Amino acid sequence: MQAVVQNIIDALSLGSLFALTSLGIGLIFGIMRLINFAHGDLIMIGAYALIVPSAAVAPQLFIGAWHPAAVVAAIILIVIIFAVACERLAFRPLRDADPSVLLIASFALSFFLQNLVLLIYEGRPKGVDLWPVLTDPFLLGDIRMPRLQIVMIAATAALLLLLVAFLKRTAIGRQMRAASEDFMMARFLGVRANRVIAAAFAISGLLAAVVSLLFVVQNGVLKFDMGVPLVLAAFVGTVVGGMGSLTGAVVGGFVVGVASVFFQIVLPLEMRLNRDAWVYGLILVILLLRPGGIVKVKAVEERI
Amino acid sequence: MLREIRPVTIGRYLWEPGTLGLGLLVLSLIIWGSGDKVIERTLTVALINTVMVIGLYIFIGNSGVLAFGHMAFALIGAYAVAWFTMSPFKKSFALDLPTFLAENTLPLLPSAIISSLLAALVALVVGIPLMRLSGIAASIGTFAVLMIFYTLYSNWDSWTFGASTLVGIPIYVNFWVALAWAGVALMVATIYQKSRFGLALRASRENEAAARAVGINVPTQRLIAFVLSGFFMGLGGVLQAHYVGSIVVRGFWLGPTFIALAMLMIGGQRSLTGAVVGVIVVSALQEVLRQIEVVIEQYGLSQLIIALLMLMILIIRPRGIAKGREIPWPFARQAAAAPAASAPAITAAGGDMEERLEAHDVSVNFEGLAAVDEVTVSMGRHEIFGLIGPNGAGKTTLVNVLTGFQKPTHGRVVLAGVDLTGMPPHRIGRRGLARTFQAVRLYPDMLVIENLEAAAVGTGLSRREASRRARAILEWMNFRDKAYDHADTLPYGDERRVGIGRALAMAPHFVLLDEPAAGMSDAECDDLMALISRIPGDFGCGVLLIEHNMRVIMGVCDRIHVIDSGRTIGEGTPQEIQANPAVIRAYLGSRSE
Repeated sequence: MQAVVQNIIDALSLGSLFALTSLGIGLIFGIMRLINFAHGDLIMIGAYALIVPSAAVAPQLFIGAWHPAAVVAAIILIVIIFAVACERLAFRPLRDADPSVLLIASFALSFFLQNLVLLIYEGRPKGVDLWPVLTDPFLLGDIRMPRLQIVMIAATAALLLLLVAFLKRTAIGRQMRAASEDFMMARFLGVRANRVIAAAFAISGLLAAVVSLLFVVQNGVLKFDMGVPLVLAAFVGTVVGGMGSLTGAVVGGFVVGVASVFFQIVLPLEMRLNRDAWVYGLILVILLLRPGGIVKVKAVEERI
Repeated sequence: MLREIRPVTIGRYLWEPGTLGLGLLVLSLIIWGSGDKVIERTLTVALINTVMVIGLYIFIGNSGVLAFGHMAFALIGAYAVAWFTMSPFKKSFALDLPTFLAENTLPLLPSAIISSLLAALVALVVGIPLMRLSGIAASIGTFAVLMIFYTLYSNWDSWTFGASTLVGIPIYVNFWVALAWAGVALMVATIYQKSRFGLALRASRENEAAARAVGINVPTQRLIAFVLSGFFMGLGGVLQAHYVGSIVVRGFWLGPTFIALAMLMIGGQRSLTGAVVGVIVVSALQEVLRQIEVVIEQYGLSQLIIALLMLMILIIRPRGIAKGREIPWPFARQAAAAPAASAPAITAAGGDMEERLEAHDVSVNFEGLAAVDEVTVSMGRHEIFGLIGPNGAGKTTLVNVLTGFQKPTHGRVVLAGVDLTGMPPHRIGRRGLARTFQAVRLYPDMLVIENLEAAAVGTGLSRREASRRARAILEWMNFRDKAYDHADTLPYGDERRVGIGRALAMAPHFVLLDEPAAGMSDAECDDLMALISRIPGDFGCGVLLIEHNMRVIMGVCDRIHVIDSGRTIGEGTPQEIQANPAVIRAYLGSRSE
């Protein structure tokens, strides 16, 4: 029983991290056809913002030492500022460019941000002990429940609900949905492109900030390329889920997370190192069976 | 005549690889002459990268599909060549290979070629399923391939020494060797790009639906390029292994993937010139910054600046430094110079002139809405057959059914007694059924003549035959002076005419014209009517004409079929249709009764 519960929670919590990251990528793709590879580096920046800038391996907490509510607010604010600045400085001048050029630009931006952090903090991984109380398990009946992972799942669920409410209830949220259906038409109908895109980047920054906090508490390590595995998994999740659909992004993120945990459990010990090969093999199969993704979007199909 | 233009033709053919190769040679000689070992090293690395980036270009540039996984092929090539060429003594330290590989060393050149072929073989095997995907799904699919090989090779201790660095690979690549292979890559990429395969693939890049309509099997064409590009990526890995003398799985992961793609995008992904220029520019920038870094002793800064510069180049030139164009040919085009008499005559399509194109009881339902409802039409190769009806009547849907773009809910499409229902568009195209599109769908970033050649090639002609047919049709259309214009520079009326020319270049038995006169002036309509009415006689090709312009329809059609809300409401000669009360009601409303 303990093992089963633990496995389910593992799968859901990893899926949550991937889903939040996928959503950050999917939100922007839907509107401007940009696959933002630098999203992972926003997560990384949120994590590094916790400490006093230095090259030390065991750095002093800076923002991380504040009251938890202040930490959350400050990190979210910082990452949102970075996200919006990236849009303004790097992506806005490229708005009409080919999607492949946009992607390479986001690669370059990612490379820039990572090297910026390397220059200030140097390359060695840093140990950070943020909110250790969260990593203590608690008992539910006789089953040990990992507190942090429950928090992750709950935080993801809360954020998703908030986002749905935002997209359905607020004017800017509705404009964002219209823009991701048909950006050109939305602009004709008076949706202001710059505002909608800036809002999308701000929300993706918010999502990245939450992921960076959860990720740091869970792993306790900062590294300049810590965002890369997350963004890769999320990127794949976005496509498998159905490019251009926000529901698809969440579903896809969970698929990748659950598949990773599943193969970790079912593979025999000597094959476990090759887990990612199995995960990506599964991804290939899903793509070949459903090239449009799990949640298909009408707007992507071409009329002849 | 032919003999006179031959040296020019060859010169034209070799122009891009010749100029680019010469450029690389001059650069190499200058650097070799300077005797600076550091710069010589940078150049060698750049030349190896040239091989890889040309490999990337062959696929990405011609297909327009962004692939992330190509480093997998470099990885495969590099490790294979290590298995073949390391001495048995050195292999025994790190690897646990099968006896044959463990105890033997193969000669260097065959090893290089076999290893690259192995990479190409893997590209073939993974490409067969993957090349059916398009767009972002294909990109992610190729990335998944890289992820899989990266993971497997990282943990395959007995063959790859796991994630550790494998040392002891013989070092023989210097910049002359790298230059020679870069020359080979340039040549092969040119031959491919100018072949019928390259032409067909570029057409699919420009407009996939229009490529399928002219008979191009898009997945197959992509696969050919994918395998070729896998070979050169493999070769790049081989050269790198033989240059550095050691390899590590990490060295074929995201960093090199990003740099190679960035070189291609910065140079301009759509031309060979762009690929080479991108490598040289990025390599030079890296080297200059590295030198500055040493002087000012601020390490790490060069990476930061290179990322920033790349971003700036992309912002200033989103289509790359070369803007997707090759180095321009400095002399006059031969076609313009050649006298008109040399243009070949058009030939009517062969086959049985009595065969018919038929749709039997075709219906199409879109989620319960009947777009086409039990329509039956039949036409012969001698006639111009009009299909008219108000907006939304289902005319284009019927054309889509005939050409395989839309599966009918029920009913059959028969051409010359053969059932075409359910066949993919490219096979229907090859059987002699051509179409134009309401939205024209030319291949915008190709020349007018290439638009026609791609269609001829799509139906199975050789490159030379295709070129002859394209020129004949342009001559027939009185369009020869614009043959070498880019299709996206044409005025609207000309675009539509090129669309018709492209369909005719397939030597079809039937051609389906979807609103060819839309947006044309009266004078242009007169020209168009003259053109259409010559098609059956000159090409032995029946015309199915959808048009809203009644002057055009009544002026050229032998018979007219009228549909409204998906149903047939009349068929007959123009006179009969003009007198048909049901037709008048559909067009003018019930008040006219």
